[in-house]
Amino acid sequence: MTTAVAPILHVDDVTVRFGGVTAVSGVTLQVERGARWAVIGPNGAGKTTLFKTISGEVHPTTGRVLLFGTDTSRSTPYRNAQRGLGRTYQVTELFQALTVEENLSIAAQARAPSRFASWRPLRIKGWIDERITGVLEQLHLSSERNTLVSELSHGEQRQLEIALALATEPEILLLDEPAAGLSAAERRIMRDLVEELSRDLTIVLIEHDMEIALELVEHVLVLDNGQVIAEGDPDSIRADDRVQAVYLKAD
Amino acid sequence: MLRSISLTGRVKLGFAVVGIALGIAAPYIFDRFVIGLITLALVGGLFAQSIDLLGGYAGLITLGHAGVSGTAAYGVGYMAAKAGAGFPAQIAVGFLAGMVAALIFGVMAMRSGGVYFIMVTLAQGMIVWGLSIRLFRITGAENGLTGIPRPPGVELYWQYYYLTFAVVVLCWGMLGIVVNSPFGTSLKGLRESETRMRMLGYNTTGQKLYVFLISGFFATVSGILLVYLNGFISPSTVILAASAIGVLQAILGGIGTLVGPMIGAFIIVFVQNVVSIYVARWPTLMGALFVVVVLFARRGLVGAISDGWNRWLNRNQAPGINEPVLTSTNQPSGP
Repeated sequence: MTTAVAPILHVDDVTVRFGGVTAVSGVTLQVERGARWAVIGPNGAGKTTLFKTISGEVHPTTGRVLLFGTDTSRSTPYRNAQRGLGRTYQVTELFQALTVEENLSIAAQARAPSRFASWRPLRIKGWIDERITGVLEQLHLSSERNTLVSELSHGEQRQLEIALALATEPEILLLDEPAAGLSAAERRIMRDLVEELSRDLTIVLIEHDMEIALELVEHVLVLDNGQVIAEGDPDSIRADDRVQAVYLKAD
Repeated sequence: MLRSISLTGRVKLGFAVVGIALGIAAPYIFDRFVIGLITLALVGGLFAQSIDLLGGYAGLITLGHAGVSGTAAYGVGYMAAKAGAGFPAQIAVGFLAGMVAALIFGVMAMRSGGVYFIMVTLAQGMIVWGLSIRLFRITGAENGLTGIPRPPGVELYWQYYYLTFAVVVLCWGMLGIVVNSPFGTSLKGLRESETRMRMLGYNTTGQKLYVFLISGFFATVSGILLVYLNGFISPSTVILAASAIGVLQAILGGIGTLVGPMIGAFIIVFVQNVVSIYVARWPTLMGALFVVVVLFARRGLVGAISDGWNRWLNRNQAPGINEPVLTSTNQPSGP
């Protein structure tokens, strides 16, 4: 089957080597607009390296990455972000000494010309205020608007990770283990938050917790030792012997 | 109008009004010696503020900023002492020299960060110092350039004081706008996480160059003010210690604020020049002062004062009253 519309993200036979170590080996992935994908696999499978290759933090040794139909194999993270890519981090990467509102105002203006405005005061009003308010409501953080990030709980910081990426209004969002370090109860909250995100937003998710990942997506890519060992819908992945073997081995 | 401003805002406004009034009255209160020191402290304070814009706000600590202000000063000095040009040409060349230095420094340093940024800027400052000794025809080498007169109308010590005061207040206001602007807020983001800034879509290399140029502008202004204040320029203006003292002033007063570097500059200038009359070992005293501040007031004197103020507010106001209190002070004190 061929579609007229090019996939929003196309990872084309990508291999990434660091010295003698092959972190990602011949991975191909096509993500259609509005789709939800999970990339799962044991620790060291190459999931985060794959993300970094998509975002531009790492360049593929061979193969290509196409974002919105453009070859971005040699692009940089900020250029990809300007194109409409959002990404969160497995290890929380926030502006700790600033308030939630300041964090989001930086994110909201990241793709606006006003980010270089230096001779007028920052005023949180108009579209900036609307976007911040909207994102805070979406991530259930409205009451923490003026709190310093360093004083948020770990769970709230994980929510703010996603809020920051959303405030740039991306078209495709890479979520790197959104539930990392969360309790079982917090994981359910996070699962619901991701579930409730706009269906227009294309999402690729890395998640160590296979059950959460499989509940959230329609498509799954399973990596082991940098290679794709399975690909398909959640049910077929659950039933796949190789996936079971990898997870049993890992646990 | 005043009611819409928070108590903290009103206190700050009060200090600003008192500070400006004192600044205007100073020549009527103090003698020539003290006014000279205040002028020197104002120029040093502006220089420390330009360093703090990079270090305190953007997290880019520089140890070579005297190379920028010094190049501006040498530009003025060369046009005055060697070329015999008029004042507009002196100031124009000084300004241009300072900004070109800032541009070259910025382009060289913008791809680095953290310790590497410190090392790159340190090397840049050393290059300017090396050139100031080598380029005899331009800089007069160790002897420097002497006999640089002040522009007409500001020749007298108190006239020059008023000029300096006005320029520093104006620059302070401009810096206040910059640090509170969208770009100023994004600088704090750069300080907190460059990785995240890039992933949000910020060209952090461009941000660094831009802030270096803005900082270089204010360093240039301080360099031009300094050379007319002293009437001479020599390599001692661009040595490492000249850059380092600006960083120390910012840390002493409180980095990440604009008032901190100015207070730090006043303390260091007065300790250097007044205490040294009575105490032979004033560098020891200054070192001790610095250690005490770093140990007991991590965020400098201004940080310590604002923490104390917020604690007082917490104690004296029932919860729910208009004043938003910095929640950082709710942390338990002591180890």
